[in-house]
Amino acid sequence: MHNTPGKPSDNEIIHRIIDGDIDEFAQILTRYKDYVMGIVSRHVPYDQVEETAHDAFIRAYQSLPTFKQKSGFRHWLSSITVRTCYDFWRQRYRSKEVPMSSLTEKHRQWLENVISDTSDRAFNERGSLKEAREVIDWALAKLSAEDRMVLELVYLEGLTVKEAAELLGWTTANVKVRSFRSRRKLQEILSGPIGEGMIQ
Amino acid sequence: MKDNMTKIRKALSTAYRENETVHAGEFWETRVMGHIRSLGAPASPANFSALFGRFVWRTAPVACLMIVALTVALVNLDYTPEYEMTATFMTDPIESTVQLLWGG
Repeated sequence: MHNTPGKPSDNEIIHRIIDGDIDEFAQILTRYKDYVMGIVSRHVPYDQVEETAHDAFIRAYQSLPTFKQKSGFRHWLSSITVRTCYDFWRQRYRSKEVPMSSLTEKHRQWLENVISDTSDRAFNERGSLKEAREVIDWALAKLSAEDRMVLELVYLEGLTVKEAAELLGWTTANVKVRSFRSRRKLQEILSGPIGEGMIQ
Repeated sequence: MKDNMTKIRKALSTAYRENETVHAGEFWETRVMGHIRSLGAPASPANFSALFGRFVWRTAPVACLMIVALTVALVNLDYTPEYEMTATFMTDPIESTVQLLWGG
């Protein structure tokens, strides 16, 4: 909860907005735009970040009357943002707009370097980071929107199953099962370019 | 091997976390605020009585149509004679039966 002396708290601003002072939302926007942009940048492609963050704030604004103060505005907003990212992928997969790139020899080399433990040196190079990101994008594009989100939150970001479930608004059991299945799918996907024996 | 998968996970997680954060453009905030102003004040969730009232009013035309249809059907069916015969048998079954047998 944002609470700086001399400045109105989030709850005060929210009350004013609900009472009809719409322009007060500009303060929320200024306070949390970097935070929301940070979350969205991790989940959606670079060129879609601004648009998705825009959608997340609109959703948050429309849901303000349902906001319960006990949960904390920051956490509530992060949950809305993650769900907006999930909806972005659902819509993308439905309209079959997910780019299906292919791995080049450089990507395969990167994966082999990671396995042979020489990656620490290679990973410091900027180019290597780019290749790693491309491998992630390539692998995630082969999963469903649900598996993608769970894998990103639990496997790549390192959140607990409970935290991911709260953000997505799903049950813990659902996230646990999806997390297990999506990890196995990722293993199968990555075993293709490297060779089955290296991973499985 | 499991070790290899752990190494890949570590490398991919690092790359994922180090992904560059996009910063909002110059007019982004203005665009969002413009959109929000166009939406008006956020609507409070409707309470139970309001939802019930809305539901009742939504079914009112259907209910009116059903009342009219049933009235027309009852008038056209003309069930009155059968109703009177049943009522006679129920109130005085012996006398009615004798009258029917002897034609009184």
